[in-house]
Amino acid sequence: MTNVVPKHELESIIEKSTDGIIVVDHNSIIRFINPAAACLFKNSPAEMVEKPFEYPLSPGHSTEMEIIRKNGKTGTGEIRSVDIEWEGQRALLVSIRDITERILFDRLKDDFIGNVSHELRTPLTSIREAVSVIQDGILGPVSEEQKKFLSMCIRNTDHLRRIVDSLLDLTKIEAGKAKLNKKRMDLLETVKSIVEVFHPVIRKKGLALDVSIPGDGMAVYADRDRITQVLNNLIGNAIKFTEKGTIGVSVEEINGWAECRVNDTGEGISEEDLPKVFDKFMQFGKKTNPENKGTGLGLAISKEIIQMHNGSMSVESVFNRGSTFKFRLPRYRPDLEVEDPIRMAMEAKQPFALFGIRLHAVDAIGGQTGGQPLQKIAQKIRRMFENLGKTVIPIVLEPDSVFILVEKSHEQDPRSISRLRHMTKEAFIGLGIDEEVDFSYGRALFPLDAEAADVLLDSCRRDMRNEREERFNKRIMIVDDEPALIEATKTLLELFGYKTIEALSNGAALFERMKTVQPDLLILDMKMPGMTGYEVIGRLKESFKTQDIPILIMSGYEIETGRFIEYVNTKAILTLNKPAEPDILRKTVYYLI
Amino acid sequence: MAKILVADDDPDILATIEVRLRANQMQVITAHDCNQAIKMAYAEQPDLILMDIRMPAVGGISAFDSLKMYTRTEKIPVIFITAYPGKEVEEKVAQMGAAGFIAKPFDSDQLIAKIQQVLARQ
Repeated sequence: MTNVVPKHELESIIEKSTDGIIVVDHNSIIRFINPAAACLFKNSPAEMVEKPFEYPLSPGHSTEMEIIRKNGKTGTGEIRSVDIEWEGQRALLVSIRDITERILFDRLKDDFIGNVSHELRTPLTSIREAVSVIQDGILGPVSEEQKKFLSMCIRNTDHLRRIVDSLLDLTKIEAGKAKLNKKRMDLLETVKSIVEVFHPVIRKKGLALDVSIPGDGMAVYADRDRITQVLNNLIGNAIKFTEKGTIGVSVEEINGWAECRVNDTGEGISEEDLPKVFDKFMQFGKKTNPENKGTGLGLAISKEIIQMHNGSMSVESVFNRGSTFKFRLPRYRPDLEVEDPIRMAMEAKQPFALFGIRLHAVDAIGGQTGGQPLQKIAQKIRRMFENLGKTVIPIVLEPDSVFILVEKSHEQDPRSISRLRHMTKEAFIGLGIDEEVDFSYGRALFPLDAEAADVLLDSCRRDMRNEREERFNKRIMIVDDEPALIEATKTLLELFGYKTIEALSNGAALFERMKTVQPDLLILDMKMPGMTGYEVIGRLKESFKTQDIPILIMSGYEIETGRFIEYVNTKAILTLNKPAEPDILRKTVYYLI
Repeated sequence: MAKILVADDDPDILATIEVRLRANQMQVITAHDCNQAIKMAYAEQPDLILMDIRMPAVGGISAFDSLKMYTRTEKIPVIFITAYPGKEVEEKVAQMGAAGFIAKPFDSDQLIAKIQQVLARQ
């Protein structure tokens, strides 16, 4: 029997649904919206339908957005979308769910564990100190038997402290609050030094040690302290659960991964327990002596740490024969230094833009900036974005690139890429670099262009265009009533390398031409018969389409400051005296385009 | 005999630390809040101050700033104790110029060693 729901029932379901439901067509226009969805935008369906839907969507994935909750306060909504057909056209069915409570609950849970952990420390301190004062005989003689019980008490407070520490650590990691200090590091060196620390313990227990490490280094991109923590845990466990035989530690490269194995000939883990080995508070094996009792959190933390490094951890074990724990870390590649922050930004599920700049002659610039040109450019551009109220993460990728993550940004606007170009040039000028710099720049958007870090980076690289080549192909229009002066300017520009230069004798001719094509730069005379330069600027600034066209004013006269100032609401206007010094003209045009 | 001022709002911790330090031939004075600690530091001129960071009203960090304001107390080394340990806190107190940092719960041998090390530096 098929489950056919009558049409009006279906309508009523959608109408009454507490989840927001929206249909967005391929032009991002809302074609249908139910009351619950409209409510999240503090609006009514009638007001929103046929209007653009301004949040970036990625079918099959969920993203988060700010919403207005029923109580009027802002909250978080989870957006999901799937491809559907709407009136014969491709469209997206978007559902929005208020997840504010869920996020709040998660945060409360983390805060609670955090607070409890801290609150436990103070009484633990008093207990431990009080007992140890007695045990040490400070308050009077203590018998050997009493000492034994007092040390039991201390051992257990220490154990409790370890649990508190681990619990806090795990909570931080799970909440994504634990920041990794990733750097290029040699895994072999780290493994060797840890093995050295454990060597005496292994020998003391009468166990053999079998270390198999390749001769060359093996670079990974990781937090040394955290990897040390994992290795301490794995090797410590192996020793703890092995009474006779061998502890083995090996590292090898497998398909671009650095794989580290720690194996033992200990008691092993039963088939039944094996799947639970990385769970919290799971403790296996015979009760070992209480002095090195585990917290039941070590393996859970270790696995989380490795996963935070985009690696994986697994275990193989045969009961009564021994266990092998292994983890894999991605081998170091320079790109990881960019992919990592990208991945973290992706996890926040907010749209962002990735801008890239590549310098083609870093060394030449380095001399002029007094070293570290990439870092300095990154900082300059960061400040410029921050002045625009944006949150940015600049990443310098040696030897020649700077990437800038602009968070929570709806940078779909095609103008954002030319803004980057201008910012880059401004940064060069700010650093006192006098010459034209040969650079490429590009942009990729999350989630529109890609949803994986390496693909997004790749997409940004593919988008990169050479600024100089692009600039030389830009269309420059010169408006002047004196043919000789036009010719002089045109000759100079052609000499610089510009290929598309058009000459127009007055304002009316310019606007006639602009019906067909728009200039990328306008070189304008102010004093012209008919329409004056002021009138031309006025008309250009009136229209949204033309207000951003950069203008270079060439004038033999003093500019009438009063009239001029009202147009200079943008940096895209510069003035030069006529006739212009060739070098100044070249730099000005470079700066404006 | 070195004179140590211990400031903590938990009387049990004060009591246990006091006994421990006395057993190590140190003279101990105690304060249960920061205002009292500042007054005592000024009047008694201890050789070292052990101070809890989290205390009601005035916290250990602001008390530290106050101590640095008076010539009589500015040179007294301060070791912070805290139940809220972490790399950030440790770095922060080091940057402020504190003589040391100990996380609760601590091992008494470590505590004594730390105090003796700071005293030896003076």
